Formats: sequence, structure tokens, C-alpha cells
Amino acid sequence: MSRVQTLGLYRDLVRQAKQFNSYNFREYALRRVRTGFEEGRNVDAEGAKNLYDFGKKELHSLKRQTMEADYRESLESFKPFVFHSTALLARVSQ
Amino acid sequence: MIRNTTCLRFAQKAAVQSHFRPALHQVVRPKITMFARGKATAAPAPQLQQELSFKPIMTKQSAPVEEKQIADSLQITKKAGRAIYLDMQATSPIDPRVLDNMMPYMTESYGNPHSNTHSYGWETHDVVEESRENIAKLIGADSKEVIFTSGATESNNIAIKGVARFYKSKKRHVITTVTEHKCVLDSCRALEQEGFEVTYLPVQQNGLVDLELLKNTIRKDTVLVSIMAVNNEIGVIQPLEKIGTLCRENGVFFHTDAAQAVGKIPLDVNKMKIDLLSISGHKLYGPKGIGAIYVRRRPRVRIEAIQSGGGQERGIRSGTLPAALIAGLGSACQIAAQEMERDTKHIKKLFDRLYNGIKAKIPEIYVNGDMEARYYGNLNVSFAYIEGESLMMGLKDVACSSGSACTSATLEPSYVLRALGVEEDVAHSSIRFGIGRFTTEKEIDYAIELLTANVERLREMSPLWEMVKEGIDIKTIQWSQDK
Repeated sequence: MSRVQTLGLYRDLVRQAKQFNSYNFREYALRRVRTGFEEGRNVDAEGAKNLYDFGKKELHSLKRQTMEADYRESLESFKPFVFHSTALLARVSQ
Repeated sequence: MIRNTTCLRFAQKAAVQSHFRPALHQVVRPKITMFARGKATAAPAPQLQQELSFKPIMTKQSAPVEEKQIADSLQITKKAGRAIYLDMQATSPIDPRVLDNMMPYMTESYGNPHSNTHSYGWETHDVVEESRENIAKLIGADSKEVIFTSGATESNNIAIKGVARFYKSKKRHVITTVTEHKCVLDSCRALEQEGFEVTYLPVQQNGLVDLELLKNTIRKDTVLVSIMAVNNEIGVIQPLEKIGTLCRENGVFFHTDAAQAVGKIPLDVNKMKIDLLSISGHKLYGPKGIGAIYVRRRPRVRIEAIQSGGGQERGIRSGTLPAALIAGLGSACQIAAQEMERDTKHIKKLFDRLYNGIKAKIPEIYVNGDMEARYYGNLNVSFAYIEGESLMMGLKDVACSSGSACTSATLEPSYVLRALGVEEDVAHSSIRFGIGRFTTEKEIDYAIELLTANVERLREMSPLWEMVKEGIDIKTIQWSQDK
């Protein structure tokens, strides 16, 4: 399990984590991926293999999670409660 | 793919356009005169209709206008984002990993876990047992001791009423504290109606229970002591191990409402000698509508069932188990066990940032509750010399909770803060910030800025603050009374 493979996994995870629509989940996913790789920096070969497999599984899960929000974009039942004035709408849309 | 612009962009825009912020937060309620001569007239004043574009409650509008308003709201949300969520004690967002684990049981795998004749039932039964195992591992228990309920409220009801009613022939006394959650206090009140005697222990000024007082209150006919692990309003952690040892020595059952504690602080029911423990799903990044109760088997705790039915869950809580929600709770617990250390570090960092930020910029603040024996995801601060409602109005971009029950129907300040000895006016102006796994540093910084701006603005307007700045002691003033 080489350095190239590990870096490939990291790149895939980060690329997928950036796909979250929600700010909080996106930031958390990026932070968690970074923390996970930092913790696994000085780990022996078997530990590294376990972490790599765990990372691969999380990558699949992450793909499904980011698609979920995409799927919901088209739903019309989401009506967020917003107080606003038409003045604010005008300013914000500039 | 459209990416939602988040509250961050809103924060940046706000920094530039902060001069119009007060206008945003003036909630002007349209005058609705009802029952005027038998007719309900509900048209809001004409100038308001131009200013505000939220739908007044009783006006009937035609469909195209309604759709336009909804489309506008969505547009605003996409551009301006929603409020920053800092109310983790009220509830927490479902972790995407948890939702991912729940999905199969809401789509293809819909069997009843109790159907043991076909594969639909077997697969859902498997996930129920796996979740039971995960929950038990998190609290150091055995999976046979975990029973699923609809939430911590139901678990508390089962623990208090069920245990007390089972042993009612011999034991008639229950001990709890004044700072418990409403469901615990209400269950105790129900027991009082049935003839039990309940002692509500006062707490010290830092929110912790006095162990000497507890020792002296335990009697020969005490059946249960119920003390929550982490308080939802002020965040203090009670000394569970010491209380557990005390209860074990005196042969009294120890129940703890650990809804805010599970998955956040390390819990071990054997080390802490806990006999009953309530778990809530939606406080640890799981779904709402599910919870669990841990009931010790050795030495056995007997419970009289509250809900009658088919005898599921050891007869204690009958009803079909919601496999999807249970899968959510189980995976939330498993993720919590895995992430506890990382989350604790992250939350402590954010707590320090928030607390030091507020302390540096705003004088005369009081933190409610002990600073060391505290779960750092909860910061409850009181701001002296300002009016609580106005502060809450100004903080609409940050979703947090106030210490008083103003947001509910009554104007009473929170009973927890009153139990700490906080004066009524200070209790009204307290805010509770909840930090969690998904909170970021930028959100904390924005919250500090907004809070500082609002507190300064309100204090500028406050005559009490002027007097304090001049050095007058408010308590020595003789206010003139109306004749």
C-alpha cells in the first residue's frame, strides 16, 4: 500500500467532501479527513492497511451522503422560515 | 449543481451592510382586530405590507402571490443563508453518516423486527440487535440491559414511575434535584399525587449537588435517587461516581437522565454504579423520536410497565420497534464512541474561543454554573443591565436559546437559573450557546461580533448602565413607589 495510493485516497475524500451543500457538514468532513490522515501519519504497516480500508469505506459512504442533498434540491416541500424585508432582498441580490 | 451560499457569506455582507441590520430585526406584528362586531378583520396596516414580505397569519392571498413569496424566501436563503446554529442542547443535526445508515431501513428493508418467519423481519431484527450492542458498548453495559423507547422523556417516565410503583408497598420516598428536566419533575409530581413523598434537593450556586445533604436526605424508605448527568441549561456535570457509591451503600436505586451526556462525556454504568440511565437520540446527532433506557440486571431493577401491549422489550416497553430510527441511534452511538476524543478537543477549543472572546469585549458578564465540572459544549452567560428580550431580538442571525422561558408562553425566568440563586432581572438576560461537532471557528467569531454589537447597543441605551459606570451602587437606590 503505497504513498501514491494513500494520497489518491486523500484527494478523493477531499474532493467528495467539498461536494456537501451544507456549510457545517462540508467543513466538518474536510476537518475530519485532515485529522484522520494526520493521526495515521506514524502508524505501522498493519495499522495503515486498516486505516486505508476504513477510508475507502468512508469514501463510498461520503459519495452517498453528498448525493442525498443533491437529490433533495428538487423537493418543493422545504420552506425555510426567513424574516426579511424586500429592502434586504434588493441589497443582497446586488 | 447549485451550492447554497451560507451564513458565512451573509456574515461578510453583514459586516459591510451592518447599518441596516436593526431594520431586519424589527418584527412588527400586524394588528389583527378579532371579534369586532362579530367579524374578524385581519388585514394588516397598509404600510406594513410593503415593508414585510412574510405572510401575515390570517390574510388569505391568491396562489400566484404565495408562490412568489416562497420562491423569494428560497432565493434569500440561497443567497443569505440561514442562521448560525448554536443551540446544540435543544437538538443536534443528524450526522450524514447516521442518515446514510438509516436509509436502507426507510426504503427497501421495511420489515417488522418482530416478524421472525421471513427475511424482511430477520434483517431488521439484526440491525436492532446490532444497535443495542452499540449503545451498550458506549455506556459500558450489556446489550440485554438496553430497552428502546421514544425518547428520553419516555425513558425518564419509565424509570421514575415504573420503579417507584413496583416497590410502592415497602418504599415511599424519592429524591431528585430542583434543576432536573421538566419530565423528571413532572413524573415526581405525578408520584406525589399517588401518595409518594418526594424531596427536591437544592443545588449549590455552581449548580452541583451537595453530597452531604444527599447523604442526610436518604432514608430507610427511599427507593430512587434521580440526578441528571449533564444539565441541559447550564452544562454542569454532576459527580456521578460519588452519588452512585452513596446510593449503592444505602441500597437505593440511582437513575440518571444522561440525555445531554451520552456520547459526549465518558460514561461507565458499572464504575459509576448507575442502575437506570436515559438516552436521547437527537442529542447525539441521531434522529428525533427515539431513545433508550438502560435497566440494570445485576442486581435486578424491577419496573412496572407503563405502556401495555405485546410484551416486547422485556415487557417494559411494548410496541413495534422503529428499525430505521434504531439504526440511526445505534450508528450515532457507534460514531460517538469513535469520535468522542476528537470532538471533545474541538469543542473545548471553540468554548475557549467563545468564552475568551466574550469576556474580552464585554464587561459585567456572569457564567451560570461551575466552570470546571462542565461539559464544554454548553455556555450559559448572563449579561447584566440589559433587557433579555431585546437581546434575543438582536441575535436573530444566531440560533441560540435564552435562559428565561420568554420564548414559551410564560414570562417566568428559568427555574434552573433561579435555583442557582440568580436574580430575576439577570436571569432574564441570559443566553445559552450550544457548541457541537459541526460548529466552526468562523461561526463562533461571528456570534461574538454580533453579541458584542448588540450588548453595546443595548447598554448605551440603558440608564442603569450609565449609573453603574458612574460608580453608583444600584442596590442602594431607593426607587420611588407609586402612591
